[in-house]
Amino acid sequence: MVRTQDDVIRSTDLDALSCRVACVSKGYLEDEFLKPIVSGLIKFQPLYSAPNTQFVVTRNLKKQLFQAKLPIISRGSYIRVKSIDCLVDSFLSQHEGTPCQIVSLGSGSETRPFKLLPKYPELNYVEIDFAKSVKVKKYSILADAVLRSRLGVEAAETIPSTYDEFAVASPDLHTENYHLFSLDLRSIDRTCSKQTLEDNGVKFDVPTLILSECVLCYLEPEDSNRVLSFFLREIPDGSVIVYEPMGGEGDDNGKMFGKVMEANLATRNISLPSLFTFGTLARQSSRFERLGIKKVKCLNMETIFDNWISPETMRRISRLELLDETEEWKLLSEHYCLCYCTWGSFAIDKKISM
Amino acid sequence: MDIDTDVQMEDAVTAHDDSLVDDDHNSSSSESFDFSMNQKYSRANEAPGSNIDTLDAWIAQLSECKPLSEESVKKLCNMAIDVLKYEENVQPVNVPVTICGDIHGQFHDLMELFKIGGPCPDTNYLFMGDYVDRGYYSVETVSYLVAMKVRYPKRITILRGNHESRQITQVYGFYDECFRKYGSASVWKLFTDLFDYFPITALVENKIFCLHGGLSPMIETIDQVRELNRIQEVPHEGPMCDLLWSDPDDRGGWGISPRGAGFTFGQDISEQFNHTNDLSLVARAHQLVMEGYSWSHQDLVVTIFSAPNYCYRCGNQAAIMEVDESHERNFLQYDPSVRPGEPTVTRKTPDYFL
Repeated sequence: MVRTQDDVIRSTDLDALSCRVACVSKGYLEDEFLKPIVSGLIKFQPLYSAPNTQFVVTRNLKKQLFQAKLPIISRGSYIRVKSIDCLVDSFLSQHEGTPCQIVSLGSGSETRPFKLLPKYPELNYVEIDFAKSVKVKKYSILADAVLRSRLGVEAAETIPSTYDEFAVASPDLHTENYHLFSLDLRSIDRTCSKQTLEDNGVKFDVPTLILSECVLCYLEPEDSNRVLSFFLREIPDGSVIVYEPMGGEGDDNGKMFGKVMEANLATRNISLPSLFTFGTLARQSSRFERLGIKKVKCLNMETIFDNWISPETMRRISRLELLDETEEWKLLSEHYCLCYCTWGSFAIDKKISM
Repeated sequence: MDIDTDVQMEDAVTAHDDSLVDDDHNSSSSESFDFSMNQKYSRANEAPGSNIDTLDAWIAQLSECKPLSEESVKKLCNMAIDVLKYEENVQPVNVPVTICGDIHGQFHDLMELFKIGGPCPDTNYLFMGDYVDRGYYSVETVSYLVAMKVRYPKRITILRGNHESRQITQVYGFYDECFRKYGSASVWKLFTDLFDYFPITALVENKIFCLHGGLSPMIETIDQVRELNRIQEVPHEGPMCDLLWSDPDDRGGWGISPRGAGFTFGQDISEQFNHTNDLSLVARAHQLVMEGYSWSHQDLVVTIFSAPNYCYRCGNQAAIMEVDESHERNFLQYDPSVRPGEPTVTRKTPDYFL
């Protein structure tokens, strides 16, 4: 099978998932839906490969998914997941009892809809990703009774179990308030119109939170700007959360960490086209402000870790693992940001405590 | 034979006289007190000759980054225990000496260090711990340094770092690496048992106090360090733990360490300690510093870090500190070694949040 650039970007979801697996097994996070999602991935992802190579794919998948992670990576994954969860909760609680929407761009293996949809009946949850990711997720859901019940999906009559069956299976899954469909984000506002999104369940007339968790960073800056501009133009009450790395700026010293990151990821053919364009908190802020978004907050993950975690939680997670990587943690966490901004009703100034 | 070889022999003989030879040889050498210099030399050369040859063969093999056999590691560790058990908690060191910080299994960068600082034994070295964990060549790195220590005991001093412990190595890679390279934990056991014998501090000409971490609220004088029983696993608390774990801080006094072990100490503490013990400087390692070295507390404390691009991710420079006969200090900075032929593509890319 030829590995395309899209496959390379898809593979980053495996990194994120394996970090969440480690966080759950070490006790940083609780996520009852991770197990069926992981089982589904191990079951369906190999069906993209020729039958005689599927066992190799399965073996490699397991190896990657259950790989041991260093404490610094557990901590960083914990704060990433938890901080976004907190913002999402804040958004939803502000709109409780009224229709609202989450549009998760490049959602990959995220499990938030399973947790949130039964809790917020007025919520419309949209997940957009590459067709290959969406198809794996769809059948992971259909193959698992718990996931199905969380979304209110009927059991499928047949579940593909071979390369050929999987190849012709349709990737999208729609319910009343859950929409999982395939789309190349770069096509938004080009070949993909507002109508296409509407046909796939996206609502444009309800308060909407758009999530980009390490997604827009794989796009050229003009592409990610076009995606954001489109939602800004078409959704009157919208908000965005962006989590991504920042490469730094200035002289070699300021960019050193980012340069090494760029070189390291290049060995996996991963490129981050906006790593330096949006390389600092100031550059991240002005990226949103230039599009016309007025209320913008950008924080690095070190700040969030130091300020959002309650003393009790801090005590709990400090006990989980001995972390001897304090300077490295600072260096790594200050090169990742969480930006949240709104042109609608989301009150982003509320204090967050986890 | 040239002068250099002569010096090397003398070193190895010293080690041999201490311990390396069995009782038979000791008794015969005791009869040789009135031998002329030459005779003594040649006679002494007989018994350890095989040790020297063995050590030189091991060093040659290790310098190509090829690990020793388990059997050889066992012999090496036994020889090393016989050298290290006679060293002091505060090992005296003479100038000139080149003082180095963390290496963390970055074997090729250690070779670069010897290129920058001059080959051992022509240059005297003092390493301040953390040879293992994080990098991919902890086994080769620690084997090489221990072999050099046994071969040139008066030319190289190796202190214990907080990573030279059973507990930390099980989290940060050395245990897994031993298991991977030897198929069992026995080599890990041999080395971690050896680590108990490493001296915990050194004193250069009674003026520069060298250790891995920093000061302890339970240690006011260097004599108090001499009274500790160091031959044990690094404890979770207490003076020995602090010496290997503490960090200088901008805040005065003693502070709680974010690492969960040791303390932070302010400039007032360093002033008092250096004054009480008539020191000009505390040299320590333990913390990643982007330039490879960093002064604190108005030049009372220096941090030296000798692992460039730490963990293949941090993008930092490394440094070593030369102290010459007139106690002049000179820092040598260096970047990661260029290693043609090293299979960087098969090396695992360090983790990022993707």
